[in-house]
Amino acid sequence: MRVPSTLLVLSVTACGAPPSPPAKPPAVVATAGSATSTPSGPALQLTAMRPPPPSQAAPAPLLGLMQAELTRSLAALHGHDDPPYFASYEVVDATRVDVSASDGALTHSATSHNRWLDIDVRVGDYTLDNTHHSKQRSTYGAPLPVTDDAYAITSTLWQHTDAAYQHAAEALAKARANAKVMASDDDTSDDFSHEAPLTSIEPPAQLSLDRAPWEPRLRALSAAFRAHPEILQSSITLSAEAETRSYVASDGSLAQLPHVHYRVMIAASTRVDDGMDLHRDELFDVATPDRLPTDDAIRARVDKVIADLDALRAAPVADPYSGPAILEGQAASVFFHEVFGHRIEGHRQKDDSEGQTFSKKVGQKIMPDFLDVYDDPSIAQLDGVDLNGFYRVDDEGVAGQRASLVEHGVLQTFLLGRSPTRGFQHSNGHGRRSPTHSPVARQGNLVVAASRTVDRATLQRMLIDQVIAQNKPYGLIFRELDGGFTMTERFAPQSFKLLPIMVLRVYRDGHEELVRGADLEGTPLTALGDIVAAGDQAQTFNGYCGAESGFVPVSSTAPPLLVSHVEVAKKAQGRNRPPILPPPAAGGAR
Amino acid sequence: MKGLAIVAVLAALPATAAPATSSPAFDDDPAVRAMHDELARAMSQLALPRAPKPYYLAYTLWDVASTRVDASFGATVSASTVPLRQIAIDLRVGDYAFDNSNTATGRRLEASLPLDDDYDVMRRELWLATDGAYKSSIESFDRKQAVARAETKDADDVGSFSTEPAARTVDATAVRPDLAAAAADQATLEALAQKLSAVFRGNHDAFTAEVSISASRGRDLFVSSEGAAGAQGIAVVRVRIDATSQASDGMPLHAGTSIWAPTVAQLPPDAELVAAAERVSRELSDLRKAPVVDDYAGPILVRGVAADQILRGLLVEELGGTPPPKSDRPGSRNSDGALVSKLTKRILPLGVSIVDDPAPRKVGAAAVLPSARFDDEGVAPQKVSIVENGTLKRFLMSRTPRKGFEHSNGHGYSAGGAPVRAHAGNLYVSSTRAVGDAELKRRAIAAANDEGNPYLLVIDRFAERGSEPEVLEKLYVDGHEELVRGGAIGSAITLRSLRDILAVGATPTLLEYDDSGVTGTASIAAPALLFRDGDIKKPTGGQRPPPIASRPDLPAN
Repeated sequence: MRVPSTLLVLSVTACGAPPSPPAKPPAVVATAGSATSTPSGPALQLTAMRPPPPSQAAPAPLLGLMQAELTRSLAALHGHDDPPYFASYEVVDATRVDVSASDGALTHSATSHNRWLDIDVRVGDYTLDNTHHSKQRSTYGAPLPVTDDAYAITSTLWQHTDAAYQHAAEALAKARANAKVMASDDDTSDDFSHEAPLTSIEPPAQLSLDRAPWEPRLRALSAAFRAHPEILQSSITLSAEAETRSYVASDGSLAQLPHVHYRVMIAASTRVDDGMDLHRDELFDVATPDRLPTDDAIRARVDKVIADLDALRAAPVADPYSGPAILEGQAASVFFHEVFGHRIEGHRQKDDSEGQTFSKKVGQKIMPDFLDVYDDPSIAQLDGVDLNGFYRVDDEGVAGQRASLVEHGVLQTFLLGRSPTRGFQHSNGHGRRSPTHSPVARQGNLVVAASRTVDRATLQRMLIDQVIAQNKPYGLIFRELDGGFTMTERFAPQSFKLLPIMVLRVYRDGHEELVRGADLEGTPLTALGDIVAAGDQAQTFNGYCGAESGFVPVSSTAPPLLVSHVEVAKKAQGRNRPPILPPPAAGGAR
Repeated sequence: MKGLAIVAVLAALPATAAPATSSPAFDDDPAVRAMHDELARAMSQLALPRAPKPYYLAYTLWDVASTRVDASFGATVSASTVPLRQIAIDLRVGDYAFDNSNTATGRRLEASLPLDDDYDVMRRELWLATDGAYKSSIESFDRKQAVARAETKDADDVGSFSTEPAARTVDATAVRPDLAAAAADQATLEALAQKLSAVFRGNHDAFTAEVSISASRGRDLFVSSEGAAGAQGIAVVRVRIDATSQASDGMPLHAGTSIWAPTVAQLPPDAELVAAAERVSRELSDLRKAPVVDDYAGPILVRGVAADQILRGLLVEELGGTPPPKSDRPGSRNSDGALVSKLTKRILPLGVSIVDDPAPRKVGAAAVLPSARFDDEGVAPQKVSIVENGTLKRFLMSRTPRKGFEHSNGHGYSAGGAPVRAHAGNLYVSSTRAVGDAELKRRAIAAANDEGNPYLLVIDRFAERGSEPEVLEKLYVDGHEELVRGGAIGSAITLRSLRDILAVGATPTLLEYDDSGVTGTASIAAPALLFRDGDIKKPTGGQRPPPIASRPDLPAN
């Protein structure tokens, strides 16, 4: 699935699930006119689990075939005009199991196994090559046989290497011609960074999951929706994926990297009488089958989804609003993912068509000094939650490293792949893609840390203080989201939009009221500057993020945030009426 | 589509939903019950204030397991079997004279049903989908009515929907797809795809060699508010063999073939399939060595499968008589088919006939895939004599009528969710003035001589898509043939050229094909055609050179 580069979406149905939201704080009666205090509590406590380097395994036969043909093909191209100065193969071998049920009946159940080859060929040199200013984000590639058949695999590798090379040579000619006639770039960085070759051979990924028992399980669990005809669509889906990435490059890099992911997703939607469609998702994302949820755990979330949707159906429609809010749970982490994460992707800093919100802000304060932000793909678990963005080596053969993006509110660096940008000559291991795309800098595990926090009750009291100080009738709390997106290209407004689903009004007397249809909008620099305080309990969002290099698994972890000012727009209203006839009676008219 | 069928056809007046002869297995099927019950409820209760009620509602359910395997040079690339249950809804508001159908923007609503035979869940999905179909039908109706009110009445308008007897066409052998059998088929087909694609190992001319096999099995159910009901089997297997290369000048080359059968068991023996793959492999190598075609104008002999392909490209889509969709804007008109003005006129040489015939037939040794028992509107396909003695006599029709063709002849199909239109089924082309192969060749050479040409061009196969000949020969006036490569059909061959065909061969070749998303397959069997005047353009412009690195030299076994 292609996503236009202007829209960086967090896959709507693929948003991660935070743990249950914190218990409601006691209602606090605030004194009118009381000043907002600055956070003064302890630093946010996060326990990161970084697995030790894996024991090195023997390379699978596929890796040997890839290495041999890359060497052979490149040797033949050597001596040709503009021979490749760098080339790599990446093969993703993916086995998937998907089982889905709705209202007690099975709707899908399948296993698939395939391999996809992506070839990157670079001609020219590190300073200027065929990728220069290229908006072409697709790569040369092909499906590859799923067995290690030397003849069949090598034939495919050969044919597509040549196609990739010829295309690269044409692109280089174009890039050189453009360089002569176009104004010089604002950012004169090289096209490709020098990195030390890397070898990392781990055992291939294994999918340890039996599909058969999940069919009756999901049937039984999804049957809970049958008693709720007001929920028009619902499903429970198990997806399990075992991917082995095999990577060889002409610089000698060699990697074999497993990635296993299991997910249970509950999705449901309803339509209110006024035509508004409402969706709720709940997800369990785990890295090992033993951490998959029990039936009781799934049932509890199903109940929560039903209760939330029923509550939303009865809730009033949100009014346009401007004022203070707490973002918590998914809302806080997705806020950072969209507002900040996408804008510090390295390649956006040198692309003239990008808004470059933060390009020249390194060393400057861009958010309150009590916030630190880093992205660390090497964390497998944070506070006991498996992180979706865990990887050891990125799609450009560079070890995934912690990028300390913001320290004490000051921007330090960017997320970097092998496309250097002003002041940053090396990758920090964030060059990522899904098959068929060219890698660009992407988020892995984004973490927002706070050196000073307040507890949740205090945060809510501070919200009410803000409400009073700003003379607003109420403040808002944003929890679960339906998704979000941001626009980074220059011609578009530099804005973001989050689609929250669970939004509460908090009145001055502390009482809360659920509302529906509030979309959260804003511009990044203002929004980050408006953060007033952070809570002391972080929550993780696991999801799949779509951008020009495809959908990649990511996580984002953030504490609840008090923001002095948010803008809420009315959700675009659906025009469709709810169904005309009541649901059919069970059992049939026989 | 095979086996003993219990087929009963019972006429009933439209919209009276007369109880037809019952087949207990069919009527007790949970899917049929769910469709029947929701249909009855929708017809009696579905209504919005100030909006027309449904006057017709039909459900089609495809209940299939689709297997797809792909192999390259002897190795599996993918293999999967996916069960699918999908419904399409035809919900009409207004009346037979004027309804919401056949508009430029109208779509058939499609939705998935669960894989389980769960009456309640199927009912629920049908309820929601029917609700959506009703609302969009009202919107289409309002738009269409607004345009109709703004325009003068079309004198040739004969209504929106034809009245037809409500047929009950229930094949009791049409059952749910057997997933265990489908899994067994998948294993068989995976081995077959490996075996056939392995034929190309060792052929250094083959840059790619792919065998794709798809197999569908299952059934297709139909119920309508008029009381029509149908059940028919779906069984089709297609083996596709493709190999590509590049000539030394860079020209991309392709050779390929398709083999069809209703079931895996009915595929030709492996040895025959391997021989087909070997022919493709040889043909690719021959093409690599062949010289490039020159610009050419003169007679062209189109034979073998190329005759089917050229008729398919020029004529087949024009044989449907469905009026063009109504535009959403007053005064704007979608153009009618190219053959509409040619009715009762000669469009082919004297002696040529074209018939669409659903009856089982063989073309040479090849059995034509069985025709559907009913179309997407539940109407049984009839034998239609389209062209007689070169003259266009009638059109293939769906239930969207045209003046002079007020009834369906059972050829209404939806292509990929588009509104139903008339499409060809199994077409047979023949001539009472046919000539044998030797005589055809003699006449072809004579035609070349008349033009003063040293040779004429013979097309044996076109590319699967587009108008480029893939297998093309020079037939010299001394009778010898030389394979050439490249070239594209120029502008000289058009629908009108068919009238001036110089000679028609005696032996038809069968081509089965998927008709762009239309359920099931279609076929055409035509003999060789000698065109009086055609042109072939030689390729121009640069080509990417062939691979710089030589082909990896690996042992084939």
